[in-house]
Amino acid sequence: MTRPRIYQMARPGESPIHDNRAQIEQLFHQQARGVGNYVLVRTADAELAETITARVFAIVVQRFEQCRGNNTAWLWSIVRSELARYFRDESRRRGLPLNELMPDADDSPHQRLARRESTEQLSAALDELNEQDSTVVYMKFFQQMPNTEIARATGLTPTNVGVKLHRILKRLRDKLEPVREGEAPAEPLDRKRSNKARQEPRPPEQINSGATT
Amino acid sequence: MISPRNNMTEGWPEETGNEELAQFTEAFQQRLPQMSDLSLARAEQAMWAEMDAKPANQIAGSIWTTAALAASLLLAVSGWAMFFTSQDEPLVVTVHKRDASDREIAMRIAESSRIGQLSDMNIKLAKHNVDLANAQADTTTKLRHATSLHMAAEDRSRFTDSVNTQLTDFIKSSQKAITAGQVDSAKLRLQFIELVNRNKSLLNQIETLSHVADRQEEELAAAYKRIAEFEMNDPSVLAYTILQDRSEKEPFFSPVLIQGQITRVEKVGGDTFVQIDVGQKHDVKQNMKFLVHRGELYVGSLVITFVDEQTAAGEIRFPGKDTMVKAGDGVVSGQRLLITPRRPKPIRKKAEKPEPTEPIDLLKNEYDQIVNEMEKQTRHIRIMRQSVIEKQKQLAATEVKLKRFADRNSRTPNPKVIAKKEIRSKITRLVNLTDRFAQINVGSSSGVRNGMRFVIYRGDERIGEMITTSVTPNHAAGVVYVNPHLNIIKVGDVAVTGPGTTK
Repeated sequence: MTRPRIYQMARPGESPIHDNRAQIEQLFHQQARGVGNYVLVRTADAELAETITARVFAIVVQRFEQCRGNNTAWLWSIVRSELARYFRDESRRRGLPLNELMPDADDSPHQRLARRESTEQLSAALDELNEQDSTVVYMKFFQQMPNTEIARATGLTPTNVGVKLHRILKRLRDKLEPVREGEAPAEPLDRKRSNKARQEPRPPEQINSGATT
Repeated sequence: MISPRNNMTEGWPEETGNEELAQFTEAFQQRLPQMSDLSLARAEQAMWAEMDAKPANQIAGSIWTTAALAASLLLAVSGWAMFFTSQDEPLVVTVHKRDASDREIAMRIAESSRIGQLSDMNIKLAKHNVDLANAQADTTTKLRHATSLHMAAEDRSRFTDSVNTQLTDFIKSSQKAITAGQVDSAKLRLQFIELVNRNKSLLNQIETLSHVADRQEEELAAAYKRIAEFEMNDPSVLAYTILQDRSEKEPFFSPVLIQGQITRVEKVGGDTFVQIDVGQKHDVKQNMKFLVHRGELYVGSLVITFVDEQTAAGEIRFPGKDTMVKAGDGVVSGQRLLITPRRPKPIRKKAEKPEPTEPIDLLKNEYDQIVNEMEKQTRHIRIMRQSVIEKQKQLAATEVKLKRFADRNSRTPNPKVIAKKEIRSKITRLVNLTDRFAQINVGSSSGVRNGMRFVIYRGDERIGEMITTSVTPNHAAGVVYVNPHLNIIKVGDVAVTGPGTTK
């Protein structure tokens, strides 16, 4: 979206915000969809995801002068803090109304329910990832970044990023595809258990992988 | 949505099952939910609202900070003043006792009050500034809203202008098309009228041409008629026509009496071709046989080979020995003329058709010429022979006729019997035109006898002879035998017998 009149009204040097408009707008257009999709997966609520996304970018506007270095990593820290603030309120984690989950007039209730269950499975699977793995997944699958950029944003090497993604995907596959040939079905995802898992000490593999950050 | 720049399997370690994992990765990528564009737009709107509201908040915060500092300074000054005054006497007393210090205190109090007033004014000013900042923020928001509205209005105006332009162009093109259609319609109408007029003129021309064609057909028929006449007058054409139409059948006499006259004679080579003044209208038919006579003289025999409506033409087959056919000679045909001819002697074929020699040493043209000459001589010989035979037939017929007449009256007529003295009589009645019986007004009382020959005159012209076959005292009857077929004997003609009638 271009706003030439607004830019004409803003005089250079009048306010730092006016100088940052273009950068903020560019940042929004580059990463807002990824942020929104990630928040949507994590919250499984379209309206809530919209609110959190708007809040994230309001914070971006307010604190853009504080941004140093990589914009994606800085934005990811805001997203993560806003989601953590949301998840701290356990009362907001109660059952989600069906009609609030990505309402679409063309979908039948059955389809909406199936999609909600799928989103909840995804959310539970992503809940079990540690911070660094979540960062890598967010940058790879939601921001569509190549491994080199992810490595630049996270401080990892590109090879390490690839290996980490490989392992994460295998774990996600085990969670999301419980019945496979020659393997026992994985345990059903439980949101409370996953929340507890997030608070409890992580497995050694996750600790090791998270320690690299 | 998978970005083309993002390879999902980038940097993976080489392991078995990577292909299945890549398929899962692709499915996982497609399984991720997508935030709607509307939600993103609303988030962007909230972001822009936050961005517009930030300068006003910053100004208000700075003003409030300044006001708080001013208030704290005033409180500090006031506290200092109260502390200072609490250790001395009341102001009124100090004024009277220590003028200099009182004056100074009074000045300080006044200054403090002025500072308080100034602080109040600063606070009011800060409030006004806050209000002003809020007003500016509102103004900015409204201005942005007005700008967006103005842009929307401009966009709508631009859209309206484009629609108007398109409509104008469409109307113009439609008007052009309508005008072109009207022009084409008018042209077609003119062409239609022109075609109708042309059709009328063509119909008139067709009618005129049909009249002309009828007239030309009539003229053509007349021309054909003239050509036929011309061809009939042309000797070569006449001969050619006759030769072409020459029939190989046996000639025959007409069942009814037909009399005519030769109007034209043409001689081609050794053959004689004639034209007579009776034709199809008079029942003349092709291959019909006519006898040609000049008065009582037999001239020849004519075989018709060409028949027209009014005329006919034929070839003289048996010309007389000493007499040539001329225009004006009479022709006659009828079965009554038939006689039983003597069977002619068979003609020896060797004499009639000599075998042509084989053209061994001669050229073909010379051979054809010789053959034609031989055929011509052969035909001439045959005609001569036929003429002789015809003469013999004629003589035999005359004898037979006389014999028949004699038989009818059971007396032997003697055609040579004439009266010793002249007896003049008149034909009073023609008994039978077919048999040519005539009755005269003299009889046996006048010396007329049976078998007496009378010569019939009309005026001075000798037109026939009559031989009496029946005699009564006052009348006699007989048959005309020399020219019985001329049908020229009438009642009133004079029949004379006597010595002078032998010539």
